[in-house]
Amino acid sequence: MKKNKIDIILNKLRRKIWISNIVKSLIDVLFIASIGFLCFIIIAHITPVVYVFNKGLILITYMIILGFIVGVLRRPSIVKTALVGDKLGLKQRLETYLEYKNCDVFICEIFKEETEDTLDNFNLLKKYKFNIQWKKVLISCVVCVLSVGIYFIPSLSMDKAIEKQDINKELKEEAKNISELKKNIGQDEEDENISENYKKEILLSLDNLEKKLNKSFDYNEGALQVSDMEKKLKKMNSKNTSEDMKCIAGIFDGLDNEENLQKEMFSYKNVNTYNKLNNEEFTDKEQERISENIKTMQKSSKNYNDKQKELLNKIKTTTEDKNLSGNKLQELIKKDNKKMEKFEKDAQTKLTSMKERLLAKGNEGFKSLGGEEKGADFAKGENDDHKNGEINNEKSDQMAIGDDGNQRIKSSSGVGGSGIGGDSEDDVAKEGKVDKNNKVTRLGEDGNNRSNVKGNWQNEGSITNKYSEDVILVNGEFKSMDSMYNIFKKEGMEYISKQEIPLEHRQLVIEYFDKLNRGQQNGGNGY
Amino acid sequence: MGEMVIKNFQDDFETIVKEIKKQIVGQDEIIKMVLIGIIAGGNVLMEGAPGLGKTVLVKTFSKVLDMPFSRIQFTPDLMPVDITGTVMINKKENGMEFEFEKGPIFSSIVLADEINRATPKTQSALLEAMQEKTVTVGKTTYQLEEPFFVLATENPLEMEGTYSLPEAQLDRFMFKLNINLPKMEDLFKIIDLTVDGKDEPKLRKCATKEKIVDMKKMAMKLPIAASVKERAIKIMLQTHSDRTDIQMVKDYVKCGVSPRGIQSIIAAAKVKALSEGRFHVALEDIYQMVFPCLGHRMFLNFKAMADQITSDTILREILKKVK
Repeated sequence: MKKNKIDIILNKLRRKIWISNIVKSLIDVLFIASIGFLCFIIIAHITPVVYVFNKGLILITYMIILGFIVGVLRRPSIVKTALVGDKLGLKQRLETYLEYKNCDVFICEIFKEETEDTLDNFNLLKKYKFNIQWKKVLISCVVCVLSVGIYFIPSLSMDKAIEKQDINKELKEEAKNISELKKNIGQDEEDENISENYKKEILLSLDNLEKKLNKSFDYNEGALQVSDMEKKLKKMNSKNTSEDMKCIAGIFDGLDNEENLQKEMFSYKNVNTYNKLNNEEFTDKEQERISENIKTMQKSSKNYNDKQKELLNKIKTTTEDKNLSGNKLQELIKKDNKKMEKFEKDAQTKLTSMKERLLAKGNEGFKSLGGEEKGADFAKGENDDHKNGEINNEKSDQMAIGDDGNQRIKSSSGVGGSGIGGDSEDDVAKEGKVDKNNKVTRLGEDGNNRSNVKGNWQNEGSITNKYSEDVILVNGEFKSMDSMYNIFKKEGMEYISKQEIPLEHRQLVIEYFDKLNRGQQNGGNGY
Repeated sequence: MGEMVIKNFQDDFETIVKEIKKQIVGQDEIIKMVLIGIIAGGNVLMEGAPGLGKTVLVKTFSKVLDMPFSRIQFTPDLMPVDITGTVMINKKENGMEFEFEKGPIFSSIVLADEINRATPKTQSALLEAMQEKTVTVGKTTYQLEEPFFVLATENPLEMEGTYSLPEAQLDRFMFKLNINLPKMEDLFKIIDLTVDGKDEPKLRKCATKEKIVDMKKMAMKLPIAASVKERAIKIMLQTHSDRTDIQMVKDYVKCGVSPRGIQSIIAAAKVKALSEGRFHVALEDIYQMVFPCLGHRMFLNFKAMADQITSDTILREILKKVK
């Protein structure tokens, strides 16, 4: 249908009014946003607001987008357009036209002709002028310039905010490493065997960590998040493997020793805990039975994951070769877990080094802001983090993150035990009541051996690292031990003292310290 | 035919006005309004002091429009039968015969001169004719020919020997026009025309009664937007003290405008639009018709009289609000 001349003009006018609405809306919004921006900047001078300039710009951008959307949504209806046109001097012609558009009575036709003639001599589109409120635009620009000017005025709050920003930037860099770590999951061929659930769980946790790091403005907080992730990762693996073991416990159905073996499988904490399995021997008949059980399990409707299926296949192959023993089974489980362990170790290493970096940065101490000397206040170790255990530091260049229990690093004498130390002097650290300025005798001095010292190496309970000075040495090795300690302190102690020592490496650590004590089983310098 | 009428409407209108202007000087707006009233089929009441040319104006219309004209001079002793006519006994060869003798109302243009000098009873004789265009005498009802309209004149109410028109009578007039004293230069022209011995202008018949009827029919077909009608209705409703939030209306108006008031506005606005060469009704047409159409339909209370508030003052207030 050919469009009427009046319709064409009406549509053109409508478009023009629409554009005008958008422009008006944008100007209004710019005005409001500029005032908001100014308020933002002023607030940032009163209380620290990080990324205030960026936030301000984002506010303006969002407001402008909002204004544009509002303007777009405020598309005038054709009736409203007609009303606007009529107000410009057409004396209700357009409005009447819209009502009598389809009327074919001759008087209506005459009316339409007359309206067309009028529109020919009446440049409606030219008569409609954009109502740009230049005053508002000018005020908005002035307010924006003023805001930028105020932004650059130095103030304590602003300096604090900038420092926080710098920390956040660095944490974001660390978050990128997490992102890299996420990308690496599943790329190795061996990773493909990691169960999907496990992968998902890891990815989710890493996502959370990444988000938290991106939002964090404190190194210690960041380190804490990384530390949490480390623990979570470990638990995840253990949980997954434990479930796998429970799933395959059915292979022992019908064996004489069924109950014990299944109990063993259910009690999985780590592969080293399957001690009973080591001594287990399976007769050919029993192996046949196991093989049959596996076949039944494979045929059953129960969904086993890839890892479980593979393990079952391997056990089945071994039983077919009549080669299955407790030792062999443990080996198979270990081998299977190795993939997981490898991934876990890689991730742990990365996370640990990340945590280390963050802690090192956090340990740089408190920078004096605006010329104020602040370091002195914290020299006595008042930096406590109660979020997850305690952080206590007696020296300004040392810091640790508490884990499940309490951790303390002290320049004191003796070896700490479990629990939190008090301030008593001259205690013997047997049951772990060692604290500040305590004088303790070294291990073995009074005939005690290490087993007398309760408390584990940062596994559960508390660990207190002490530096002994006035301890009587058995073999007169004080000097060398001291120098060793200094080397260790510089390079490794910082690391060791802030880390959880994995349980499986506990033996190694004990051996290490034994060697440090020159094979003195119950002696040493008390680390 | 209709197309021609509508296209020539403005010219015809202008021609009639021009012709009347030859005789009537300084009352251009009144001439136009009377003609609008005639074409819209309404009755017009003109109020003004004696000597302002009210009667001359109507007589001039009767000369320019080629249609039957009659004049009734209202006096206190005028009886209704003097207007409607009466049954006469005629003596014929075969005896006596009753015959209805039509009164002056049986015309197209009826000049009711000084209408407020007659008693309300006599004034009421016009009611039926003005609204239903019929006359009932005894048991017989007579249909009046189209067009029919009453052009009445009245002296201001405060003058000696006047009876105010009843509300029902007033409501039947489409317009009430106030005739004011002409301007200085117009008065010069009036003197030149009347007492300077110049020849009286020759007036020609410009429109037949059929043409006036056609013009009315065409005008009533003119398109009008709903919003324009709505505005007229809003104005009318605002004159009612129980339907308005204008304090002045609440304080001074005893009785608001009847729906006949809106009919009058719309009809008059249509004719006005056509007379200006427009083929639709604009809001300004409505606004201009508010005062002549509604002023006499609104009845004010004693308080208004005491405070010297006129209906025009109230209408101005209403327009301010509605616009």
